[in-house]
Amino acid sequence: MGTIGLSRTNRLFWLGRYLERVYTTLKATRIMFDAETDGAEADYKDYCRRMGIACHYENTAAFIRSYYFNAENADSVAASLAHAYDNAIVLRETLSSDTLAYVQMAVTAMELAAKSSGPAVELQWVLDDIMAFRGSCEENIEEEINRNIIKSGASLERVDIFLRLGYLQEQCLKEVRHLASRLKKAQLAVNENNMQFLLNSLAGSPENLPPAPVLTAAVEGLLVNI
Amino acid sequence: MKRLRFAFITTVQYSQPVHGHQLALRCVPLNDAGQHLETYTVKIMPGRLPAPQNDGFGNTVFWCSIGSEHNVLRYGSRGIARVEEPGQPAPPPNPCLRFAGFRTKPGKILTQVSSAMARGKTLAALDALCHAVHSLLRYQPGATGIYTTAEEALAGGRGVCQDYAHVFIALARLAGWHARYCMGLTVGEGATHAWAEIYYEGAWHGFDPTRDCRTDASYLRFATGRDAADCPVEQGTFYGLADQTQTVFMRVKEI
Amino acid sequence: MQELIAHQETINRQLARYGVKFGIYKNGEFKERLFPFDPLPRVIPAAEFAVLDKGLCQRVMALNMFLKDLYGDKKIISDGVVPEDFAFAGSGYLPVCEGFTPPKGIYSHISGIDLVEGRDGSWFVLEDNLRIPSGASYPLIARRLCRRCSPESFRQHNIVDNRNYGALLREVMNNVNTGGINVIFTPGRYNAAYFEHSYLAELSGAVLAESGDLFVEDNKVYYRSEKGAERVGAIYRRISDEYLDPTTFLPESLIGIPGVMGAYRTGNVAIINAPGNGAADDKGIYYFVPKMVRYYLGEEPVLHNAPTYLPFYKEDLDYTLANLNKLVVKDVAEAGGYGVVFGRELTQEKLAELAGMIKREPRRFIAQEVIDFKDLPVMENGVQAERKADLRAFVLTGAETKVWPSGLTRFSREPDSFVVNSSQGGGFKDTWVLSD
Repeated sequence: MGTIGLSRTNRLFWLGRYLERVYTTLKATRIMFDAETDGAEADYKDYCRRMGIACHYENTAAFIRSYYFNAENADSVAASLAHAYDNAIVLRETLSSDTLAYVQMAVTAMELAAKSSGPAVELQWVLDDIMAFRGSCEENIEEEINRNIIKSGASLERVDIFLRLGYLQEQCLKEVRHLASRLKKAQLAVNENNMQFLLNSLAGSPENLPPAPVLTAAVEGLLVNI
Repeated sequence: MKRLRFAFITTVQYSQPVHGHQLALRCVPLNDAGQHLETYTVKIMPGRLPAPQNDGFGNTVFWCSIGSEHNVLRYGSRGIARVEEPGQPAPPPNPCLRFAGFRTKPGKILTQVSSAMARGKTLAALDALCHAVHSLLRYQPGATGIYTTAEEALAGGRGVCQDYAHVFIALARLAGWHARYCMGLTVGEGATHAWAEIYYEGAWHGFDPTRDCRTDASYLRFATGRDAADCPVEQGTFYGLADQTQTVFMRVKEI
Repeated sequence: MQELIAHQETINRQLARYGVKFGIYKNGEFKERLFPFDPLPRVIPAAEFAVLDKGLCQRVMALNMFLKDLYGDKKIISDGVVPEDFAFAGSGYLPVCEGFTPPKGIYSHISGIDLVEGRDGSWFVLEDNLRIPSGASYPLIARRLCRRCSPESFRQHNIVDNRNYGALLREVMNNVNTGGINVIFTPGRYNAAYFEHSYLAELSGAVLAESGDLFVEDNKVYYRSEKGAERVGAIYRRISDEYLDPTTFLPESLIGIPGVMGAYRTGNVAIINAPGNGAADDKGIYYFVPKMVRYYLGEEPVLHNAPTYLPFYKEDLDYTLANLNKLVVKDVAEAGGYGVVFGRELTQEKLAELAGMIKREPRRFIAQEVIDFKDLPVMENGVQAERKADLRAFVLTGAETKVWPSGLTRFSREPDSFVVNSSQGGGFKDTWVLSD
């Protein structure tokens, strides 16, 4: 099926972005809580500051409850997953029912996690389902361009979070290169100035690296039409 | 028989540019049993005029698309028509003209009024009905809107030509007649007019309850249907948040 | 069958996984509900299905001929078989379809005929749905998942495969396509049947489109795509006539395709099903369908209507009023199980009120004998129970008219209820047609 609507490009892109946000933030916070097991303070306040989200959580428990599971909280993982689902549900014939089912399963796992006293296992299922979604995209989405639009969304989100959370410069650079090649395959119009700025900054010496907000602003302005 | 020179131009001004405009236009006189279009031109600005279509009632409709942005829309027609006196032999009417349309559905009041009226299958009975409708309503622009139903107009006791025609048609149908709503122009200058026609013994006969008279060859039909909902001059949608101001120019002269 | 019961839990999990849902509005809020599925299929033996098949094709062919006649020569009216009052007075009749024949002369491409089986095993048609009958997707996906969960059940029985619905649908669209892509047009994801719209698009290979995706220019319909505008040749629209085109019907409709009726009347696009089909499927015209079969095909109808009375006719009015307490009375203007009243459930006072309404507006109502339909077994909390059920058969008209060898069996979830509609809490079953 070679016909793809304009609004569909947007939906595919945001489906990729939101699912990646769920995946990457779950992983990032897991590392934070793993450190807590060894006695370190889970510094969720620092996490919120870096992510650029409001920190209105009273304590770690409140953070977990709201940031993970409260879909009313626009910053939450649950809200991102709901947005991913909203985009996916209108893409059935592009994604295939089989691929869509993995998003549905991630939503179900998230609902189970919200009810669980130790949600780590169910959250692992969410990660598993997203992994399976990626595989199913490869397998079941006929048009390569559609796969690449989803991947572009995912890649852009990853760059954004990596920069915010201060991941290693070379890791960020690798991801931006990845993003550049995917955007090309997805035939999405790119603001080349921003792309060059990101590549040059990340390839340059660490002391000249612009602060994260400057870099993430360049990321948000990367795409011309989305 | 009369030969009429007609001109009809509508201009719509939009406060903001609009685009993606789709509209159905009924803006030329009919060419049928009772009237003949000798020459005519139709215009729409901006945009191109598509091939004319028929809306199922035999009215000429132009389904137009104007994709590009515009602040002004202008459409209309001019030409010469030969109009016969009413009562010309005409093919049998669409059976649906015996039944109510969206805006002519009878409610309590119409049913009551109808049951109090004399029923004869004669033109004289229709003249009486026309006169009765004329006296049931008071002519008052602004008291009703384009979506006002016959029942509502009668309840309020006020209205314009569309309402007079609606009430007449609703009552005529309750009495078992095939009745059609007519939208068009009459000799003179001003705005579009509305009246009603009844199918009787193989021909259409016109009644103008607004003016309390029969119609004649100075009435130029643009469209007919069950009621006003079937024959709007213009119906459509566009993209854009704009207020509209519409001005209509029309002139019909006997030549 | 025991295997299917044993696998009930697995099947339900699969249905949840695939998001087999329908939407409802509760207190003004949109919610998606799983459509309750019962694992015990309705089984129709081959010989019985052969009769249904013949009767359904016959009925749908006659209905298609009726629509063509109604919007054309009106012979059935002038011959006095169908009174004008039932053909032209309802809101389903659309004058804009007069004097024009849709591509290949087909009006009802996808017909949903609702039947019930009486206790004696005879089938009755309860309703024809010629506008936008929904529901095929549910048995379709249920079959796929049941086969996966309980392959042994399908090995042991000779069940006709029903998974060709997508291909049948494509055939139907291709048959009338005037040149361009096939589109399934949905009002959007907040529609009750959105699952179905998207699933059928996937299976038939049609493009799923919403209002903003399509536009009309110079009486041609286009789809806005990445590559630019693509011509559309056939639209399987899942919105009702009144919302279809704001230049022609309700001017306030925001979910339609402005100008599509111009393209349609020009012959530049096929609309599936044709606008104006409501003139042939309201509860009043239903009474005349067996007469249409005789009139157009010169055959005796294979399938019977439920015994129906039209208060429009004097003798039927008298019978209806005299037997109101044992009849079921239906308002012809309502759909979806609304406006249905069982006389036996009414107080004397309410009966008198109903009688008054029928006398005042005889054209508005039909009365039917209550059919004692065969109950079907369903699993209710692990125990087998009996419930009322109907069958929606899908009849597809492409180059020829075919009955889909399956259907949607809906059952009421309350023990004494006759109402099976999903909007009112009913559930569904798979429908097996046996090959021998």
